[in-house]
Amino acid sequence: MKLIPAMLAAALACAGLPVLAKVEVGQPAPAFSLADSNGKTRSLEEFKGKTVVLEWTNAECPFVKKHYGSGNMQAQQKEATAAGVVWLSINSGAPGKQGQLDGAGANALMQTNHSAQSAYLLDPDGTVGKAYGARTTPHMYVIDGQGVLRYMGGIDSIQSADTADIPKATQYVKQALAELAGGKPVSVPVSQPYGCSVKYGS
Amino acid sequence: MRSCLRVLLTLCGLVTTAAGPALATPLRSEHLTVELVAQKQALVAGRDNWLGLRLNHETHWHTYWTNAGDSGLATRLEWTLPPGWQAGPIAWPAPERLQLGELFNFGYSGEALLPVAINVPADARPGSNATVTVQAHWLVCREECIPGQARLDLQLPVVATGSEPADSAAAVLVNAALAQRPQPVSWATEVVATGEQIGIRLRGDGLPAPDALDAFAVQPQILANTPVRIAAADGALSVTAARSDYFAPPTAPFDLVLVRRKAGDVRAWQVSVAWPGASGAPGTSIQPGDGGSGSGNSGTRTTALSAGAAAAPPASTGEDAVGLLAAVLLALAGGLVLNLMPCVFPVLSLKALTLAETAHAPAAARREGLAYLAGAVTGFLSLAAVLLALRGAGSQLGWGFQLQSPTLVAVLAYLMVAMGLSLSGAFVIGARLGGVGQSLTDGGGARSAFFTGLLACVVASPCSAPFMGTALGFALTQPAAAALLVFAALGAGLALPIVVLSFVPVLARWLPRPGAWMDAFKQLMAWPLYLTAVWLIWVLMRQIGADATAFVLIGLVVLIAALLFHGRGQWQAGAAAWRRPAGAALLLLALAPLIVLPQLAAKPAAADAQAAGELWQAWTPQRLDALRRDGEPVFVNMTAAWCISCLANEKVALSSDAFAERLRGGGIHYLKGDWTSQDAAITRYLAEFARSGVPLYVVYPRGGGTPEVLPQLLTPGLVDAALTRAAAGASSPPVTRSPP
Repeated sequence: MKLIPAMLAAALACAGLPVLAKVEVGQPAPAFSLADSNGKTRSLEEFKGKTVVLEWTNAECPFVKKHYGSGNMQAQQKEATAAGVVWLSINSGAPGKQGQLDGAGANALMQTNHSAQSAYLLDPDGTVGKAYGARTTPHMYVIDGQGVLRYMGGIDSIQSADTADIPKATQYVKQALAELAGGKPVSVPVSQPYGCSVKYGS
Repeated sequence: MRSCLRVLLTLCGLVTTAAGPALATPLRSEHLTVELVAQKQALVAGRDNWLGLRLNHETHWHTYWTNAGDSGLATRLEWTLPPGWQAGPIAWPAPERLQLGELFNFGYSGEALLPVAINVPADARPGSNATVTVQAHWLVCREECIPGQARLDLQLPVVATGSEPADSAAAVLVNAALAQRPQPVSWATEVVATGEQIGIRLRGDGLPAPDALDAFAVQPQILANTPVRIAAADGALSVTAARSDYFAPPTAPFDLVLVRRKAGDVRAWQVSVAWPGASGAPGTSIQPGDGGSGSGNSGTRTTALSAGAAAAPPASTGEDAVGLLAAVLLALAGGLVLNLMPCVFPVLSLKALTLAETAHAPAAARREGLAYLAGAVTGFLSLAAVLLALRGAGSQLGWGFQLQSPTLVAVLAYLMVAMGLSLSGAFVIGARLGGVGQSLTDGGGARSAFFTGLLACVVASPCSAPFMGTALGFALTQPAAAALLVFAALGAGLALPIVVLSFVPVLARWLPRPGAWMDAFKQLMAWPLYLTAVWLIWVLMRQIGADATAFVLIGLVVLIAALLFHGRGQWQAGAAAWRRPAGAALLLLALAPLIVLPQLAAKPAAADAQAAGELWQAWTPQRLDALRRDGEPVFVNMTAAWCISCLANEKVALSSDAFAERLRGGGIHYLKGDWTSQDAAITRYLAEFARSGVPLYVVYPRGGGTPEVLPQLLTPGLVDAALTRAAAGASSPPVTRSPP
């Protein structure tokens, strides 16, 4: 019976550790509102009824470059938004950190990248990133029209910074969007995110 | 000129050939210098030779281990070797846990080396020069990351089998890295996964001391990357880690690496850990060690004792058996107590009395007693099996789940009313007058006794949730076999009085003789059942609101009509043929609300969630996290409408003016979670405290630190003292890590 107090003690001790917030597939995604690159406030609530993709990004991260440099990310953004999906890129970099952008910078970046997200959201104090437990760039989330999280994890199945791996990899977000659109359950709802760390402020 | 060329080649990312034996020219890349080195000055034919990728990191920069942690990417090597030669995998030295704000990575900094064994075939020609080439891919990060790759060559002479070449200049580095490889050990392992926590217990020879010790899982998506807690107890080491947010149940044993860094010395161990229930887990059956320590006894509770249990000390294996035995005995006692619950007692007291009637036929009585036992145990086992299966399928359920479904609550209310009416004499269950246990000789008695046992379990279920939620909740956190054993013991306890009566006829003789008084007794016993029905209806109102409950009440009225109608038919000799279908139709009508209930159920939660001016706010994980981040003191109360002890506690300790004053005075936030209906977030929170049922009271002190769990029965003084402590601040040194 010593196990019970021991387990309790362990559980208690660990509950005291602050970690990134936990979100869970099948549970409502945390609500948020953030200014976009044009200064307009956008919220998750605003897109109720639509499938929403969240993409944590940092244009200077080699893993993000892998997917933008190859055009993979833009192609997925175009395909998704054409199908009525809302695609929000979020930059949770703190001021002064690598890849952090202001609205004008983000607009310029989208222009040069030919990217096709619905909006580029700025999260300089990292609140939304931390609420979602975003760890890497890229780190992807798919939320259904009811506001329920349906996918979280990596953009694809091969953890590398090498563009050549993209055609060989399973594109998890694309797959999840197709399955959701077809009324099917998401076959890979969770995968290990990979990439650079999100550059949160301290 | 030569050095100019080398610089040029280096800039192009190409690497020059070796300048001397065993040492290629180091390649300076961004923030990292890489070099292919060998342990010896020559390669020996017919054996493994150690080579290594030397990584010299700039200060603050690091590369990654095989499991990179929250971000990053493991270093990767591709070898080009002479035909017949083979390169082994990277023999990863002990990693460091590297903190980046709130993220944790596993990797290397400063001077590091990744050793690889190169197998040179025996027929390699001595005296020849061999070129070994590796294409290395890495990611080097400080906070920002830079991917890099290089092609590195090494030319070494090959010497004959059995030669012992001299050490190279890099031998010190290679040997240091080899010494930091985790040493494979075969400690016994046991995994207890409870909700968000994963506890791994290690036992065996040569366990390291817990100080300066860290633990890492080689495979990702099992343990979270935040620091683990390691403690020694009873000759075992327990490693407690948060579960990965990206957790995927391991299908094969995973590898745990323990690393001890003390006074510049690094030692590491690697143990294979079987995941409970995973296929191929060596521990699903116990493998007693040759040390004869008798570990076989502990198998019932630990499904994941892995091989190599030889060294497990006998004391600790005994402890597991004791734990399970105690749980079984407690469950048995709990089952016994259930007999006195208002929903069970009326049914069972009557059963006992019919047994007394059969005291003259001891064999039949025994048979009936056993059948009844089988019924009760079957009932509880089925209930537990359903629950375990649902949990296994990922549902966030705890004990009390049967009361979280409005349909089941309504069904139980119907059942209580129907049994009450039967006791009141409105109708007779079973076709024959005289009730159950009438025909003892033809075996019908045993069958009816079995179903009475099953019924006892069903009627006991609403009472078992509020009174026994905690004990059963603990059972649910145990491996399936142990959990089922505890539930079986509960059923056995429930059946025990009747079984004893049936086996010891002397006792039955002490029971009052059956007679006319029994009818009055039955009439009386109907009322606790009606009251139980009232309670269930009240729970239903909390769950689905007054409107939907009204439909259920209408259904109940029709049910009463149907049963009365049926009862009248039973008393009339030669009842009209139309009565049967009419009665059945009425019954169907009565059941209609149950079928549409899921559609009707509108959550009236809004009314409860945040009554203005209330002391408390609705609990959400986000709100708790936010308050905790700000270091605010918080009192969390997890409750449910069907939880009697929760309600009692609220009346006794959580509704007084003094309590309100204490909260206000201390600036303590009061968060209340309502588990009356299913709520996955609350189930997970309960699991963090190794609970699977309500009530749960947790007090978080001001300024962070270890929360305090209050007992399940509260007194005003106890609550007051806990809140005073919380308002004052952390009493123990906070485990909270200060932000970087």
